[in-house]
Amino acid sequence: MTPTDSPETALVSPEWVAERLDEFAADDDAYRLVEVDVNTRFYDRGHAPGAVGLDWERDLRAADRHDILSAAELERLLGESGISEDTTVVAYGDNSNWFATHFYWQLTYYGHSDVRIMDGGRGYWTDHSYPLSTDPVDPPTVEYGRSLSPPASPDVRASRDDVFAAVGSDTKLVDVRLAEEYRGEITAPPGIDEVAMRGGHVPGALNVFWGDNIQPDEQFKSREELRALYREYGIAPTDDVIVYCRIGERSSITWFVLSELLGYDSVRNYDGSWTEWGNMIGMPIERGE
Amino acid sequence: MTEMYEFAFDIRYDDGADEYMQAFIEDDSLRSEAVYACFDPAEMWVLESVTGDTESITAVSDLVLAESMDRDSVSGRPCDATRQTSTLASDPRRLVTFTYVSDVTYCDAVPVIAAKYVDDGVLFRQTRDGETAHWQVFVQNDDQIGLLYDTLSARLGDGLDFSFDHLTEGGQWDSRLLSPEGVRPEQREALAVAVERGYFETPREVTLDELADELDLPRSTVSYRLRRATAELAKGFVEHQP
Repeated sequence: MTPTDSPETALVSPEWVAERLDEFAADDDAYRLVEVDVNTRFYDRGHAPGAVGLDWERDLRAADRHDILSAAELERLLGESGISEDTTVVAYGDNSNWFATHFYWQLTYYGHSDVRIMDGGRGYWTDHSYPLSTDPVDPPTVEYGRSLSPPASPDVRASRDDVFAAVGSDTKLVDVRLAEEYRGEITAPPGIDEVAMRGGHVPGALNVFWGDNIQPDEQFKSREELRALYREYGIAPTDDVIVYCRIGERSSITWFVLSELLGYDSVRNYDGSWTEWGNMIGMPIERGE
Repeated sequence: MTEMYEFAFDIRYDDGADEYMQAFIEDDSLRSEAVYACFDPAEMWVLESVTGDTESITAVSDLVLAESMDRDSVSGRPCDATRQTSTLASDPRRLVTFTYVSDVTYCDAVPVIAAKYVDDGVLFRQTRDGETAHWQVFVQNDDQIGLLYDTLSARLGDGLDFSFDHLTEGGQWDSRLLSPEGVRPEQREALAVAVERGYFETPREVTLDELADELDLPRSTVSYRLRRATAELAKGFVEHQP
């Protein structure tokens, strides 16, 4: 078996979670399971027993500005979800853990000490007949007993200024979107309002599709395969890396792989991503291959 | 007012990436049109019409009718499901089948993936020709299409490439679906260029090679399309004589 069976890593297996469902569902806040889906309709159709459902549109974005949660908002959300500063949080979700890793990344940025991802996410869990429940999950609200301000790990997040400074430098920019988005043929997916005024990519960015991290069963590829993938693109563990996509969620997958699974030294997620870069006046943009 | 949206995209297959698509890559005469229904992600049914030269139909029918043949997974992971295929119509140049896929534990077929995202009814049509599978997904509203785009494109296995074609209201529904009559759109295109360039004049004002260049197609493909188109027209003409 893989190291995912070890509870000491950022990635836990579905078996590991299945064996601890009672602990996750307990009122006690030692363990908490969280489902965060792209398709917010999924949770109500059935979720892992005891899993708290978060809605990325409602719960993981700042209320009054275009941003991730503030420290105070996150403390409140965690407390209401039955998560204290000492809770072991395991996140999972659809689309091979897009928003689960985004949630993980936000918790890492602010400094929650113990958060993990369930390998394969919701897809693997449902495909392999792990238990599902439609019972409402509402753990007792707790006090998140520590301030998350200022963020404990500001170095996992890149701003537009960081990206601008990285253009033409040794920093490796990694665009994880589909090739047609990278080339600038598509400025936003059909039917989605996450639009940009211009299509293309940050000059010099490499296009490594996020889905290349994932196996057909939605679990992460092996560490060896992942290492080989990034080696092939000339992205080394000692490189300074910035990843981005459209709104910073798919790039959270690649951030998780490089930073948490492969132990790259310096990986930042540019959560402004293309919806910021492609809408700003005067930013350099490259199109085509 | 009732709306209909058509979400269309292509999946392009590398040589050797998929056993069933390989038949279309290697045989210019083969073409498949299929409609899919999937109301519950645990079941799917498929009506498929494959046309081509007589010997090509004979060869491909073994693939179509083999219950072990997974024609639908796009991830590289075969569907964990029960599959039954029966022949509805068969003639030397056409095979029409009905396939019922049930007891789906998991299945990375486009309709099964899509049915998880679209709740209020969805209809699918797939056309296979050469290296390309062209999908048309018809839905009543477009609010889940972005999700579908991101999700489907990410599920493709090695050797498969996704490209978005269009999202339109109304759509270009082909009413000749599964009908043996008529000249197909790609045949019509070949015919139009041939007439326009004087291919049917005597003597011919253009060679088949020149038409092939103009259409950016192999000579054999253009030849086949013109033969099929003229054959359909001739038969239709005779059949409709009083």
